[in-house]
Amino acid sequence: MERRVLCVGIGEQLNEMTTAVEERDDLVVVEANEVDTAEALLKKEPVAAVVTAHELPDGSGMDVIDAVETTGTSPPCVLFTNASPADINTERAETVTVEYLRRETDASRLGFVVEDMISHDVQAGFMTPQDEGERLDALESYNIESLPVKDSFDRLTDLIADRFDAELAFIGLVDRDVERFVSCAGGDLDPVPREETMCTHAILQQDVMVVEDVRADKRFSENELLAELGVRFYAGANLTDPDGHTIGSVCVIDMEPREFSSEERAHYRSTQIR
Amino acid sequence: MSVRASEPFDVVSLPIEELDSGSSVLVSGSDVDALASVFARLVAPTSREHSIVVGTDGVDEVVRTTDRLGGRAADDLTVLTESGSGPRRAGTIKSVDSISDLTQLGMSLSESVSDVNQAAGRFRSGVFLCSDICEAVNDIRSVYQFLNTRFLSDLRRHEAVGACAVDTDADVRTDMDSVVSSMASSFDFHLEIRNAGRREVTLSVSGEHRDMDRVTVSL
Repeated sequence: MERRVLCVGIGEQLNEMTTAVEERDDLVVVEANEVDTAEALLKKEPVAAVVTAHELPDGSGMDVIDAVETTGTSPPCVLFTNASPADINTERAETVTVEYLRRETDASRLGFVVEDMISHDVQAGFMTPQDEGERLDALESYNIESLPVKDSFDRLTDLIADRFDAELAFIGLVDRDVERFVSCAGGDLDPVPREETMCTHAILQQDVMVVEDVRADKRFSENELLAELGVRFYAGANLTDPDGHTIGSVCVIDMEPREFSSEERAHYRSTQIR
Repeated sequence: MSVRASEPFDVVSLPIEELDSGSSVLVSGSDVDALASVFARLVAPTSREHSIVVGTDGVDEVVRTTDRLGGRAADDLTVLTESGSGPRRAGTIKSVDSISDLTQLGMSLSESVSDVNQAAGRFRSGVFLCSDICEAVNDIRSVYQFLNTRFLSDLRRHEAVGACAVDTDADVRTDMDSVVSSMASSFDFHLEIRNAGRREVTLSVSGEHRDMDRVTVSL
């Protein structure tokens, strides 16, 4: 599968970037000489990665990265320059992690780094478990949506919503890039980007994860999607396969913060599916 | 260019005696001095190695312990720190305006890795204290992104090992136990400091082929 890499620069520097990236199988370069052109290309079609010079005729590499942020996607970005990081204004991109490669000494590594960034999805704002590969394979092998378990899952989520007096109860499967929902009591949920979900955090711990007030928790307080949905409380228990891979979560959410007593946590543990 | 060296990295006075290139270790606990001592044992450079540490308050103790272990801090240790803080001395001290500016911090770390690559090639990387960075930022997801994009990626791409220390008593407006669990699931080893005295600590060790050993080590 071909993956597009946007290279932004001029003259010899652009040639260096393009040559390095195209040495890698499956990477195809799209070139731009200016920030404006890069911005237009980014709006037209998504890219797998961006490599940019720092000094550009109509701006800087950080302007290109700013443009990347506004697309709503998050391809990994490389700043390929001899300028020192201390001399680069990162004010507008304080939360974007940008790979820095010094052109003078690291040009030979550029292609490798770009390929590595793409294949390892390094921009993820969540940690992934050590068994992520096997976990995803397990999820794919079950193909749960095709199994005759929908009625059972629906009964379970109804029961959980009732037992814990929650506005919504759902069972979500955490895939590589999205979470999709196989059952939901109290509403309908469309698939959600994995980076925005709370379940992607819940699957990383053995015990149930409880967030009594989403807005007071620094992992989720800036999450625009949760704010838009009005989610304030969350509890998630693991959905684990017989080999121990956690493929999703059994969850309740509420639109008001609430306390979850230790007794309720203990009861909620019993909802874990193994 | 992705190198998994055949020669592992030695570790002094800890129940993990050596680390394969690419390995990552999470160190957690509520005693900052004990954290510094255990952390330093993981990142202290031996001959033919360099160390790069992202340091917040308390990294001074890491530098002192590194010196005690082999006396190489003055030559082979680079500390990235916020302007106005950081250790009194190290081989190289690089400043960033704010530890919460993870973009600049990440680029400075990349630059340091590039410098080391030109020279020693083999290095140990560390973050002390990751909880201080969590405290400084508005959104902890950016710290996870920093760890994925920089810290863990560097270990994968180079002949390197790394350690990340978390103070579980830090007030970062979240469930620290949950954060530690999340991070531990991505690291190869987790050393939890259970009990700390002046001269010894009790650690729980979990991770690759280990399942919660509890060991007391002398410092």
